[in-house]
Amino acid sequence: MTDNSFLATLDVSEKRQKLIKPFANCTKDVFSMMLNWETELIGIFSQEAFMSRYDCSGLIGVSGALRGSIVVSVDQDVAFAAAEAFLGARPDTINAEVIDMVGELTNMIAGGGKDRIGIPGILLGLPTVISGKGHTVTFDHGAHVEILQFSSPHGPLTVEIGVRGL
Amino acid sequence: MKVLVADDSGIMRKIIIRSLNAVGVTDIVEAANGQEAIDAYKANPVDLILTDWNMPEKSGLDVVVEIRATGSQVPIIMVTTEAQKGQVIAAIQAGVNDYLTKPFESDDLRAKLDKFVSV
Repeated sequence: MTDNSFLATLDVSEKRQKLIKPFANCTKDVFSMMLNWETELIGIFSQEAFMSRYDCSGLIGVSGALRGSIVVSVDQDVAFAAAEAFLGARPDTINAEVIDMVGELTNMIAGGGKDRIGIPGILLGLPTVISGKGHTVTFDHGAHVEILQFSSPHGPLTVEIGVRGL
Repeated sequence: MKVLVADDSGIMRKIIIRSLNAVGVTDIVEAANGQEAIDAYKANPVDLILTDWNMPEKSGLDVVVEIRATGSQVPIIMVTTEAQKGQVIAAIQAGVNDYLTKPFESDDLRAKLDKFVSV
């Protein structure tokens, strides 16, 4: 199981840990196993404190035991470098393959995080990807939101969980 | 040897196909959803199937159930993010021969393929 210093020293409530740790560890594993990249959790924000999104965001709806959304948002350079690692050629625009890749990364992070939470009966939808400079994502009012900020060798990314029922 | 690869992610199909190519398999049929996979198999049976679970139209579990309902014993590997015990058991009960959880390292996929691929 992965760990990192920020997560190891994190002092938050048990309820918040229940969301943060599974998704923090799963994100590190996805990038490490699929891309051989080391990512580091460098911050955790509330929705109010952190509203900007990067160039490309994958969204997955959550239903069943928890209800809400999981969003993986990546900087354009991260998306291009990941696509290059998967495909062997670096794209110069956010094309269909980049969007597909962001969707699949979102799928793996959301799916792995969901399984690690340890609550049975959480269901995930299929990923939707939106792109564009300055786009925003708004979670359901009243949802418990955790925004995990990561650094990677190719730029920043966030994993954002906004759910009810925790 | 002919292999069917079903995943709604084109990137994931490419990753799997790259590993298949590495073990000598080049005769590959692709499907982007569960219904395409079922139709492709019924039109032209293959020697091995790798299928995702969560796909549009029909799921990977639907693929397994429908193909087993034909009496086929073709080996099927489920490659999926779904890793909860109940889901793994459901897949095995439906007739899956092996199970690989995403994310995976290329060696993990190679090890699964080595069990079923003969070229």
